[in-house]
Amino acid sequence: MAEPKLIVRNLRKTFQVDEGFGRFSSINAIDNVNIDVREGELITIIGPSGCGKSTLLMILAGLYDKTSGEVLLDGRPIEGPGLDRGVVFQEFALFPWLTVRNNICFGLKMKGVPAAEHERIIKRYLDMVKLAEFEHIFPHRLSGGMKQRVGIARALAYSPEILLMDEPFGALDAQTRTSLQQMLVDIWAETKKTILFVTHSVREAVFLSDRIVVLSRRPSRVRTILDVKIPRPRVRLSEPFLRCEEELEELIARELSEESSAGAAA
Amino acid sequence: MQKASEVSLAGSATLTPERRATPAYYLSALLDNVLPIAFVLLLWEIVARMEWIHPALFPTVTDIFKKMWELTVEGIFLRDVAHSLLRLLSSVFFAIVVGTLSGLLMGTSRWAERILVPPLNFFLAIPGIAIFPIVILWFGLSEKAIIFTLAFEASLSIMLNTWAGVKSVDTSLINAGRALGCRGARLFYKILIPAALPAIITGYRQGFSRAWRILVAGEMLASIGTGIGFRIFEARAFLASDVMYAGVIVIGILGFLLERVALRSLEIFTVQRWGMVREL
Repeated sequence: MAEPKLIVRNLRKTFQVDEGFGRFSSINAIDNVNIDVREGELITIIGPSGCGKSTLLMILAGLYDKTSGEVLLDGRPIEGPGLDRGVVFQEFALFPWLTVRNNICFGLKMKGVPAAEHERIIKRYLDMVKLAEFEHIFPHRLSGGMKQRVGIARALAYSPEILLMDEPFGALDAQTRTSLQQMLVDIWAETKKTILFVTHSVREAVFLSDRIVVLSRRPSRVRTILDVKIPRPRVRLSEPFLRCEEELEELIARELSEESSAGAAA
Repeated sequence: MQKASEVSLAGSATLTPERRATPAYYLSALLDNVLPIAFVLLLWEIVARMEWIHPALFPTVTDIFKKMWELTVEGIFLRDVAHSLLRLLSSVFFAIVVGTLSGLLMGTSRWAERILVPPLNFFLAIPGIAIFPIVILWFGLSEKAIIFTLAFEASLSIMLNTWAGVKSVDTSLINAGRALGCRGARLFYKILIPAALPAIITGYRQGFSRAWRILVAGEMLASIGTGIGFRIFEARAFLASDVMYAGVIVIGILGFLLERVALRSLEIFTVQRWGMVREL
């Protein structure tokens, strides 16, 4: 089999927490995580809230430092942020002083893509996220769902090797969420990008993923990796979908109950 | 194809044309402001004509405006205004350069912050005019003394606001900038400065208005020979109350134009258009 696109080996992350009065304590956020992400797959990371899944993604994005371990993208170690990865944030994080077009263009300029190609690339991704008419609008005039579509276009435009998405639909209402999930699957099918997606929603994970990585409660370890074999296009109320959802739900519930019993024991 | 301004967003909200600093905006702003002021002037004229108070102390509006017209035609007012504005603009220019740079430094370097914040807070507590006598010792009764004092005063406000603005930039914007390949200087001018711009512009506005206040007092104290503040102070010696009133009105008009037209337009063209401050 081909070499994995992204390799996470023995990853650990410890935060130093300032408790005031000169005292520090350390919080063990991630404890020995190992994941192999294959080329072109859509992989979801799920786990109980506060389990460190967003921290993991931020480390992959290069925005947080890891404490120890190895992260390799195409065999090269990741050191700091870079344009080989596209990041989509839960808070959208669009630049309010730039129009939709210039938000998308930002990465192109940073990467040094020749200006002659900007027009074509921007148009392609604006069409992909169905925002062609909003090219010259400032982001504050868009709805949440539209903002995140710009966020996705911005992260894809400079054609990174992998798309990292940190609970991108977490701040949206249920309907918008559903339609963006479909849009993401379509975009994935069209661009054949490798996508690593963090979520806390079981349904979202089952709808999107080739594989689902279930993390334990903090400090996070990989509990299981679930292969989702439901054929696409997926129907949310179909028999296999519901079964998969239930299985995943149970896994996470077990994690949470272990947490409460561990808490009781301590 | 549908035009962007007609496309409906999320059901109810529609895209209305953006509010810009158009001629129509200025016209309606003018009317909103002129009418109440005209009423006050009318009341003043009536009271002054009753001569309850001696006209040398409380001249009529028509006398004041007659004097203003005379002084303008003679070129005295124009020169005064030009000199006052020149002092204001040159000092605020220095203040913007020094204040913005040091504010940005304080917002990004922990060391600069540690060293600069306590003196900044201390100096902010001092009304700029209090240091004027000391500045006169250094520079004499000169342009330099006035400009230095003004620049000192304005740069403090600009520093404070720039620093606060940079400190409060949303972490997710910084992260997005870094994820998109910005580091060092680029992160600075592509992300930090535009994101902190609402606060920086507030700083400029404050700096302008603080400098403006000090300017008038400075011109009075320095007996510099020109300037609106000087004109009012000099008129006092001749009990030329109409000149004094006229001077005060000119100061009011100038201050208003600077604050509400020049700086407000800057805001409308930038941060308000970007939705980073609420529209009024």
